[in-house]
Amino acid sequence: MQRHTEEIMELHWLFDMLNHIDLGLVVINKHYQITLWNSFMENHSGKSSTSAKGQDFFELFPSIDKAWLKRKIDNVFGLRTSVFISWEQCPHLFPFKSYRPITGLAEKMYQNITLRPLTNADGTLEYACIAVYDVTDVASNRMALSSANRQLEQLSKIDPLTELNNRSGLEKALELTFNSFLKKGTGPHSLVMIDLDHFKDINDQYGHLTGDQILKEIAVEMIASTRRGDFVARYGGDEFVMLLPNTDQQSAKSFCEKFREKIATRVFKTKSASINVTISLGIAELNEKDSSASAWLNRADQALYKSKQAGRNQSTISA
Amino acid sequence: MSTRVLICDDSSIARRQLAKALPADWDIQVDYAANGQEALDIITSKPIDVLFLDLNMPVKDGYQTLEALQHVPQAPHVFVVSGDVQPKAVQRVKDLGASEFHKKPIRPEVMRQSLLALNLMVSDETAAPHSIPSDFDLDKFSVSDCLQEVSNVAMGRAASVLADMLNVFTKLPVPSVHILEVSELQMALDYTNRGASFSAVSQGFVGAGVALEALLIFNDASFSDMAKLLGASGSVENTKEIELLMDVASVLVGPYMDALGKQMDIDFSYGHPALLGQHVKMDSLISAKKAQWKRTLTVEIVYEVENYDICCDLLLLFTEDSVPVLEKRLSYLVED
Repeated sequence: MQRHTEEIMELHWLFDMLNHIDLGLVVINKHYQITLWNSFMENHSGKSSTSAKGQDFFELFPSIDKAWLKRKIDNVFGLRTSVFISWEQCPHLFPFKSYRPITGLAEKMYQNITLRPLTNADGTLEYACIAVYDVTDVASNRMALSSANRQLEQLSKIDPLTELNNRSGLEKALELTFNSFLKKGTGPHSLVMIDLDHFKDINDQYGHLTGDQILKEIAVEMIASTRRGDFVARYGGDEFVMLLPNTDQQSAKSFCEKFREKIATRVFKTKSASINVTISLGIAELNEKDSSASAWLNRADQALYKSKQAGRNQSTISA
Repeated sequence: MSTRVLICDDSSIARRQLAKALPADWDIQVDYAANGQEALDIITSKPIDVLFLDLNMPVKDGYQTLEALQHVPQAPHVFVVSGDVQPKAVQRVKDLGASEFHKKPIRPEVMRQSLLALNLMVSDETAAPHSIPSDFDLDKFSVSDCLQEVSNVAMGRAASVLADMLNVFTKLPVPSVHILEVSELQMALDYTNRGASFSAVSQGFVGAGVALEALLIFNDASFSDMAKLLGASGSVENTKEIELLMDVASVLVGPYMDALGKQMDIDFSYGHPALLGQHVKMDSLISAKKAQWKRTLTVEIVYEVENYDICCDLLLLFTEDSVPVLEKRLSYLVED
């Protein structure tokens, strides 16, 4: 008698634990009707165990993609094997709130789901179990980490002073353009290399802070003057590069001349003085003779050198 | 006159298991062969009445052997005894003239029933005891050999589930078992596919003192055909790829581990499969620096799906401290 009572007690405890464990447990039959439903499911769905019992699972959760989940449940019955659904493929199968909607990182609960066959003692299979694991913390941490990584990657391509793309960002863009020209025959594409005239003198005369301010303002002017899809970068020091896709050298030249005049006629008002600046430009249109992206860049650099040689404040097309 | 029996299997454990399952009251002489070619050599040199034939073997596999036997006059009755229980495998061997198909490991009473039904044996209480395979040396048996044989059976079950779900035939290799350093593991994996990118799912299993990770590694080139196979329409974007990974992992790893656990009498606890990485180089999947352990017992199975460009690698990585437990659990395979 004593032993019997103990066994009943143990069963009662076990049932109590299963009912209150922080894990969603649902038992459904082959017709997708709910046969069992623990407290976790009651509390998160707002539907009591008695009202859920016998209900069609998909009617209770109309937001669930019925055909998709049915296929998986049918596989559990047909193949007699567990099927797993990870939060990465379906973050919120059940429309449940996260436990910490205020201080947590997520509003909805992220879930890992296990669909498991429940075989009867005689080997027949009529029921399957759906286990719902709350993985909100893991998922939010993972997503925060990958978003931080994306930001870092973005930052590594940005020049901190002008907030233009930096040299490594430029190299990637050049490579992409060069490859699409080579493999897909896109084009014409032009590249412009720009250098400030006598920038060293400005730094020497007015100080580096003033020099930096001028670089920043030129960067803003470059962004304002170029089109969407053009790629503007600070190459280093007082050198800038503009990549103009789908632009031949003549159009590039007329664009460059307009930009050169804009800078030449503008007065840069700094704390120490009002300063006039001129720029020299070199233009190269990508052609079949360019063996690499850097060969192309090199031609723009040589054209820039010619502008300098010829007296500065002008633009030259690469021969 | 005694019935002349030939047992052909590349695994000496399987040969021994089969010999042990032969009815004791059957008056027979037994020969052994380690692959189809050896079996054919024996059959052409002397008459054989009954051939027990495995399917997945090196040199000449069971299918090729059955084909060759079609041109042999007075060919023996063939009992195929295989871990590969895909419906198509059964159909193929029947089409090739096999009398019976049995899944491994064959139970003595099943064997007896089917021998009696085919009129191949008469009960003879005075029959002499059968010879044990002559190349059998108990001391030489390692946990690796045993693990290879149970893996063979388990992978056949998994392929059969895959066949049921997708109606495809999976080419089954001979599983390879090694004890490797973690650094060697990287090299072994990286060897054939330098530079290619991979996606992988890992699932952990623990039970009775055995701990292992089942790692399923896909070459990224497999995705487009995998999508075709699973009926996914349109382009394969990122979430759909994860879906494909999870689905294939569910049907390949689950039944495999189920069959493995049954053979070792372990009811494993398991975690949810975790996405290890997508489109990454092999060395970032298994990082030697990250690993806590130094040596691992590894079972590698390369699944290839017939008529599709799909290839995936199932790796079972047992922790070093699981080895003594495995030895104990698998000893029944070699004991008398």
